[in-house]
Amino acid sequence: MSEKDIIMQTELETPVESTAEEVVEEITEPVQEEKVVEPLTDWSKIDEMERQLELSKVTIRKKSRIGMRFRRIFGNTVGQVILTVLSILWVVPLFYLIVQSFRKEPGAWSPTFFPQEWTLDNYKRLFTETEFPRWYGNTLLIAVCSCLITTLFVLAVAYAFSRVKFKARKPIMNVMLILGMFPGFMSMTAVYFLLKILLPDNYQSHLSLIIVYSAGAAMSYYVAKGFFDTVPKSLDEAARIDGASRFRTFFKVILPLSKSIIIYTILISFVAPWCDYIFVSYIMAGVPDIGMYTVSLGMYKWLEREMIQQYFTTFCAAAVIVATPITILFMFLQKYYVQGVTGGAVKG
Amino acid sequence: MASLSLKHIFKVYDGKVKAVNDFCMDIEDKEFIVFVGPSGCGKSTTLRMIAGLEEITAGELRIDDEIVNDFEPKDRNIAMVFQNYALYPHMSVYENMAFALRTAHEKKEVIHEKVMEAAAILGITEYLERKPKALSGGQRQRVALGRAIVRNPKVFLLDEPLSNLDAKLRAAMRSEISRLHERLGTTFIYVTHDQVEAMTMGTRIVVMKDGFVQQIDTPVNLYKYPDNVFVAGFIGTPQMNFFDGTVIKEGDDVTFNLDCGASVGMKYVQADKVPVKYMDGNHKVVFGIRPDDVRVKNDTNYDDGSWAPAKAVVSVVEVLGGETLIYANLNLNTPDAEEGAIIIKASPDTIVRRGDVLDIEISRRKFHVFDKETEMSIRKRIPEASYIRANVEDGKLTFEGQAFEMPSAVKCDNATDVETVIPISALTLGAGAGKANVQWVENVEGKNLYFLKVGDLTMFSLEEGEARFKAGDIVDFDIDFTKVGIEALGVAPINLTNTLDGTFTKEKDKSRKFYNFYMNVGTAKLIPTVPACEKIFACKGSKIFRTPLEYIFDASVVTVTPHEEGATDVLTGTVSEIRDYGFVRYATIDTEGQKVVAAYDGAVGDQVDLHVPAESIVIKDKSIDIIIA
Repeated sequence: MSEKDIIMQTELETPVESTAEEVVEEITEPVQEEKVVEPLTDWSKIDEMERQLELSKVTIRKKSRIGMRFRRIFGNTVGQVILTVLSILWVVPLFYLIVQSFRKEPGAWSPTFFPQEWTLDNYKRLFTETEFPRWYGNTLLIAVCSCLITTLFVLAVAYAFSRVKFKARKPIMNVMLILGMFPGFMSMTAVYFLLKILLPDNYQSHLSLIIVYSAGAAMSYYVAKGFFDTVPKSLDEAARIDGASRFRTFFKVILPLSKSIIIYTILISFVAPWCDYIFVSYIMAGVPDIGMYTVSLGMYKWLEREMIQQYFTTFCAAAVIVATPITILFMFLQKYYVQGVTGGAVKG
Repeated sequence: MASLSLKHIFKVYDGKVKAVNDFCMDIEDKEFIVFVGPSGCGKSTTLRMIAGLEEITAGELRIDDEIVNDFEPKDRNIAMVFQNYALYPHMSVYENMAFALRTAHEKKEVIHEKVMEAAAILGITEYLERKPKALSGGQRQRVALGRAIVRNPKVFLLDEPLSNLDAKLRAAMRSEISRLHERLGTTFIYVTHDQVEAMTMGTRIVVMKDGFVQQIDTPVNLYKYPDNVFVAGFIGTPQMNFFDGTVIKEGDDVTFNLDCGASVGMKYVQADKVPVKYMDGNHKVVFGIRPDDVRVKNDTNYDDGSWAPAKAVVSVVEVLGGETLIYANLNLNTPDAEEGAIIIKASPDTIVRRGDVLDIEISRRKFHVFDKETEMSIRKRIPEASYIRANVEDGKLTFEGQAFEMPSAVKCDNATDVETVIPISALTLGAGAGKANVQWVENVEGKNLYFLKVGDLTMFSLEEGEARFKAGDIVDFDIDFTKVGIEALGVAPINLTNTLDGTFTKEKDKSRKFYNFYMNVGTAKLIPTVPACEKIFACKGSKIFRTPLEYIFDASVVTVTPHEEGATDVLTGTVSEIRDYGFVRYATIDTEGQKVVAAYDGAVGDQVDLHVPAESIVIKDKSIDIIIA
């Protein structure tokens, strides 16, 4: 049983009649002891300690245990209510979209929230009568390719900024930060003409899109750099003394420790091209072959005035299909968002 | 198995912050060197420079006689253990230890063999499959050591490896590392801020403070003969007791009058290493005495005259079991004041209470004296010089019944009772006009330090090799007047270190497309050596052409020849002064508005060329005061 657990238990076993001050003492004392011997890198424990300290601060302020309990219940209730309302507001449109995708009645607008008749025809139609499977394939290809390239770029740039000291480091970081403040679509026209120069015969292609999505990706190195900054530099130094090149250090030592940031970067850089509409819409504008489209561009076509009546429910079904992989990805990988990985790297 | 040599190592950050200042040291094979000092003293930086993790701003680092300044860490054949161990968290213990070997593309069987061997040495065989996370602090520490061992390095570098362990484990690991050093027979360099670790583990200790090396010596010598107040206070627990005060010599008696009111008296023989010039009752000195060298007076104590009586009032008593520490004050009215506070290490049987007035005894042998202003020891193990009061009469220096003919170079007026400094190396035994009685001979690290009784005073001479004389002998001695200083009469020892201001320039070769580099002193141009140029550019880059420099060389390397028209790579000048010391004549030569001293046999007014071999010129950056080549 770790010391943390003991503390937790102490807290639980505290008799109700003991005063708040006693509780505080029991909680804080072992916490301070723990500070001396526990690793600084085990963030979950640090968080736990902070929580405990925060808790003890709160307890100090309270005169009696009853008043404290009342306030806590009241605060929790208010919080829960607000959160519930917010989450309903958040989920309703999504839920509407999902149920509409199972609607049998045609037309864009339905007088009822739930369909009067349920069907899977919309999905069937999606894969048999439309170009959707090709769009889906296109999007997947573009997203996977640019995701791989982007991830590599972002991690490499972030690592370089975190570890390599060179003169232009600060200026470049600042320039990137400032450039990142401008919305991406401001560069639309420029990107369009640059692509025309770069790929004169083939600028309205998936390759163009991959280039557009991955070329500037390194700009968003900030989060990854922040992560690498928390990985002890002595690991790099140890690897350097062990004879490893920067390349080997990055791939053999740092990356295996950076699972969470790699997954984060992959998710982010997958979602961006997967959901993008703006860049596709003008790069692919006027392409005669509808099959070249990505899902967002193709589906948007269905929302045009002359199409919407016919395609709205199909659109909803497509939206569900598009959202599914991302949702699954997030569901399985979200724990990496918060997981600290350097446990045991340094003193503990 | 390697020797290291650090020559004038500097670390400068951003061109101005000096983290390490002129670090010079030779480390022999199989030594266990400890760098110790408070945080921020530059010890870790020095270690990291040796490891190759930090660039060396200026200076020369050799491992086994090979200059390794520009080598990558892996090519220096060193291994390092980090303070936080820096184990790779995602690898098992085995993988951690094998990583370096895998990187070097060793064969699998070799890797296995080496890892298993190291694991056996460190007793971690059973943890090999575990991840670092599942190990305790001490085990991780051993894995870190194992990772270093498998590489079979020439030099082990350890950066505060024990500071993260709890006290008990630290003591255990301390002896384990010492044993490991013994077993591996490798050179160890160990950084710590803990003086106990330093004292117990090191064969030699480097004490550092604010980027400067304070003292390099064996643990015992650091404890017994600290060079300055800092070292004295840093080494040893409890700390040495310090008292401000003055010293006065009256006849054969010397008394230290401490500012707190107490005084410590002794015979002149017992304090003869303290220069007489401090014994005037005016010079502020710091009197230091270790708690071990103070004892509580006891009837059974044997006294051979080497204990000075004093009184102290008890403030706090700490009973430690094996010994008792008494915090007292020499000023009986202020038991708790800082001034006069003294810590006494007493036997555990001593029973005293707060407020008790104790009769204590202070050792007359093991005390320390420092100059209050410079904080440097003035009771050095080897005194720098003999300070005497002498008379000058018609070209003769007389003191204590001795008379020495002064050479014509030392011209001065007659005077009586002037302070004369005779450096220890200026006093030679065996021949000469002086006669002295050898009081005793102290062996200091293989050298013989002679205590010579000359009249009322003690003078010193140092010789290497077998002792030629023994206590009681009457010896002749001579004085080398090139080194003697009589400040009151304007006689200074001749400065044989020449320093010239100059610059570094480049000139395009007329015919071809490369640059020639020159060391400029005024209009004269000297041709630098290639290694010097490399060092200069490694340190300063193109900034060197805008940096004011100092060229430093010894008079002994200079060759003086009559002036020749059109000579290159020389300094041309005019002899402005000749100093004749009898056995040697030194000329002061004006060149390019600056002065150079060199041995020369000609006359004043001669036009001469000075040949200075480029390899013996030390180049110093005047702007930040670092030696760059």
